[in-house]
Amino acid sequence: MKGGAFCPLCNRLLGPEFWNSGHFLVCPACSAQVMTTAFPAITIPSGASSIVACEPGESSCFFHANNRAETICDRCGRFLCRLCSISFGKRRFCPDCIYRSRRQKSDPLLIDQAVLFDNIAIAVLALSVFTLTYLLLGLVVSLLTVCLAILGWRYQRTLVRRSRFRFGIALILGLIGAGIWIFLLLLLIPALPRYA
Amino acid sequence: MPEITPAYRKIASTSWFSWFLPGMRNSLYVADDHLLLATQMIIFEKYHRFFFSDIEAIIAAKSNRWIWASVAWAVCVPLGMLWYLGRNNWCYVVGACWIFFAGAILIWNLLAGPTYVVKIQTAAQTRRLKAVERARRYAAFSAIVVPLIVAEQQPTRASAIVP
Repeated sequence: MKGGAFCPLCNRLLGPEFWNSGHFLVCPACSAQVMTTAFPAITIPSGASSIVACEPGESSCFFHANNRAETICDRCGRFLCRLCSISFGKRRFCPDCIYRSRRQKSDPLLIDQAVLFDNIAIAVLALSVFTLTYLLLGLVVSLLTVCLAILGWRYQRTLVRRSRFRFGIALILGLIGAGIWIFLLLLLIPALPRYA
Repeated sequence: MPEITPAYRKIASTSWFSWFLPGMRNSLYVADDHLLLATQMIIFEKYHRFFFSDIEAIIAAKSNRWIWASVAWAVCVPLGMLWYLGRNNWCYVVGACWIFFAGAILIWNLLAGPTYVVKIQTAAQTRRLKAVERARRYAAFSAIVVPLIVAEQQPTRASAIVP
């Protein structure tokens, strides 16, 4: 990845002559007009390539006894070589802490996805209506929608702020559907023929 | 989430058109030290972070997508007149609605301006930023993000380069 930016359309390497020109230049490969805003990080060589062997008397990496420790994990305090130190902005973590934090969802910085219960609730209702299964299992689907909306309202954790509007819609539609179904069932049950 | 979630400020998101296309709904948020790309995939929301200290380049390429979209919608507008061959009140209503919606989308597309393909590159990943693929949005995004990246990288990187 080092050494230059790449054309978004053809992925050709764009050399320093394309950087920070302030206007669009023509890509030599695909003739697209490309503007590159390059930052100093583009010229910094990769850290993993310069791992230093541990000399006697020096601290070694927790995971690689032969590598000299360069930094410490901000979470557990283990000594780490450049290979094991994974930076998240100004913070550095070891692979173990990243694995553990991602499993436990204990650090918002390491959360990579969230489940959208509001969309699931609406999708369940919409799918059942479009596939006409609502005509057969309408009460079950409506109650499932209500349950999903209530559970989601309590447990949905997105990293960015999200409106509760969809939960409201799912809850209202689910309750209306369940109400209609219960009303129809109460109306139909007495009308059913009795075999005494 | 026991630890404090960083305060995110929304700076861009894809248009209303992406609500109907799974996986196309993207939003960009800015925090103190990083940029967050949130991609919605129907029942999931996936997050990608780009720390200001790691961003190597933001590359934009002009795209003809908006011209082709305009041509497509411009073709759709007169097609709505075919409903008037029905000689029925309902056909007239549907035809009018068709022409109105296709025309509105055509005008919206023209007003939104030229399209770009924008990618952000770090040492570890390159991602497409669909939320800023219109000329004006890209300009606004650059005005917010570029000074933050430069401020983050300038002092430390300069001292790192100089022996």
